[in-house]
Amino acid sequence: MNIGRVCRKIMIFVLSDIRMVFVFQFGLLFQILNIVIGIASYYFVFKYFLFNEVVTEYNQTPLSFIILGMATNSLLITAMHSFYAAVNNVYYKRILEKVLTTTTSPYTLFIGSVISSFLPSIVTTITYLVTGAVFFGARYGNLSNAGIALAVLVVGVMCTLGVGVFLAGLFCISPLFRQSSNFIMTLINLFTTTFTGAMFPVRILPWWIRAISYLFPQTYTIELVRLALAYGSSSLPLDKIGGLLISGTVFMLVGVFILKKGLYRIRKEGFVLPEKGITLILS
Amino acid sequence: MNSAVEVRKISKYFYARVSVSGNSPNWLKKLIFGASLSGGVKVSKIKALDSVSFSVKKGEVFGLLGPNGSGKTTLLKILSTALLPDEGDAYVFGYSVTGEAESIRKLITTNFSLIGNPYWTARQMLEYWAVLNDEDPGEIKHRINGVLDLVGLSERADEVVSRFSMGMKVRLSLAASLLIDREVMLLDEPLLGIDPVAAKELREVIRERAREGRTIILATNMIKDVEEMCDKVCVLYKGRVITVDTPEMLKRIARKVENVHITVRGVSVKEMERILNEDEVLDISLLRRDLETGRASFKIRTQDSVYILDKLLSYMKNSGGKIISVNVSGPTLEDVIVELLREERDREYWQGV
Repeated sequence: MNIGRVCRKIMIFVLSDIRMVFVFQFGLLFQILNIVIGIASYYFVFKYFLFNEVVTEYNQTPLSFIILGMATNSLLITAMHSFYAAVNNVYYKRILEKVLTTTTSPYTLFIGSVISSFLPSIVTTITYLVTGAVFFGARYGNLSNAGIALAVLVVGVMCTLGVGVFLAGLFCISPLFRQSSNFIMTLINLFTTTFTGAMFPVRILPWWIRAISYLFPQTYTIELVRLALAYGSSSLPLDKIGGLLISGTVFMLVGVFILKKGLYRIRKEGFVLPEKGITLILS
Repeated sequence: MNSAVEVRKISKYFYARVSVSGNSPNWLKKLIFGASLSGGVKVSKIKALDSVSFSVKKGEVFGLLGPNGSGKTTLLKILSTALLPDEGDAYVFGYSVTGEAESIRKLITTNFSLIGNPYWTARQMLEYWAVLNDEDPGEIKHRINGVLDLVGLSERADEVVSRFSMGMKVRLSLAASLLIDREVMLLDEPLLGIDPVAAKELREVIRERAREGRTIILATNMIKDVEEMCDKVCVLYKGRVITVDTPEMLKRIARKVENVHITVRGVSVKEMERILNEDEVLDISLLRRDLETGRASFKIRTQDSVYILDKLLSYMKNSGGKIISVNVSGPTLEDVIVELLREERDREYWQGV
């Protein structure tokens, strides 16, 4: 494999997606406004309905806790969603079918799409953190620990990508998943946003929801980022690091396996039904 | 190797979920799917290709001809490795579509593969397509100008593609396939919606590629494409091969039936029918009769026009009648294809009965 050539292709895919973002430039503006309004609402909620118990565990105020959670979650949602979205997009726009006639591997196309989808997500995360700190006085922890927190976040994102590959594999291999994929993805997004510790600590959840939460690498990542920011690398519990790595690796391995099988199945089944595909049988 | 492309007993099935009406639908299905689709669902197996075999020589222009749903596009997709066959295999320069797809992708170019953002210009689309096909970026800019010129889009090269008409998009797709210089070109309806003058020029462009040694397989519904471009044609009907032959041979097979339009003077209709009461005459019909001048025009369907005309000339010589004009026409390729498909439909009908 020619690495230079693959990198060049990935760069071109990223650039083409950036061009697309700029076509819808007002979309980005609205997204930023959305975040600012969202933070304002959290601010007022907590100003008038103060927590009885300040989240001392992570050395943060409730507002900082939520903003940091949402900022981290923004990147993790992208990590989980981007690979699936890339496959979904190329399948339904029939791009995958066309790429399969070229010398480019579909995986190269997916990776290009995943990288480009992180760019707006990084903007979102920074906007959360900066807006919270500048306008609402949020303090996320000790700034000297930012490096280790960032490293944890990168590992967490890589592990969460495994979930994305797994979902993309399910999309390719299961026509049933494909048909209802939008609803399933909305549900998974809602679950991971609400129950992985972005808005409140996972420990307050009932045990059975907590058990499901700990299947996802996002839960470990959010908690580890908080601890890293507050207390540095020495505070990171090994069981949580292990959980993150195991969860991410399992998702990634199973995901790659079913994605490969799924792409074969798509080639076997075809992308669309033939012209006489839908007939009405009168029994 | 003699064959550039060899298709061996390829079959392809599609599975479609079909609604079955007539059962009593429950209220939930009715609510979700509506009354017409709430009876039940069955999986129906549709045979898109049925044991299709043929071979294409290097440098040949090979046409796939048939009505909609006959399996032309499915076959092209299999040859382009986007789709896998359920039975049989196909080989492109010896590489199998089922097992060696990556090797085949280095040998083929298609016109059904143009990808890109509709907000890009024609030039940007072609650049992107060239990257996907690992073309040399240094050389590609020059070649893009060349192919845009060939398909008549050089003046629109920097225009956004979403503003293009259907014909222009078809031209751009053809430009994409010409841009990637490979051994085998797979073209699906390459001239669909293109005006006749431009179509004639583009047919010559495609023929030129074949003269340069490229093998071309094209699916089309246009008889003109086949007549002007193809060395060989495969007629498909409902996934089956009806015949594979050269356009000339197809016409020759059907030439057993000829149409003779003849205008005579001094011969009555009854006499004409008596003279031509021969096995060679399949049908004789009076087209026009002028009582003042005594002229009559006939259309004769015959298997041997020379014999018929010889007999008429002998009769005229003795009777004093005169032949005013004669026009003998053989069947066009269109007649042949229509006849072949009609025969196939009849055969299918009688099998059903």
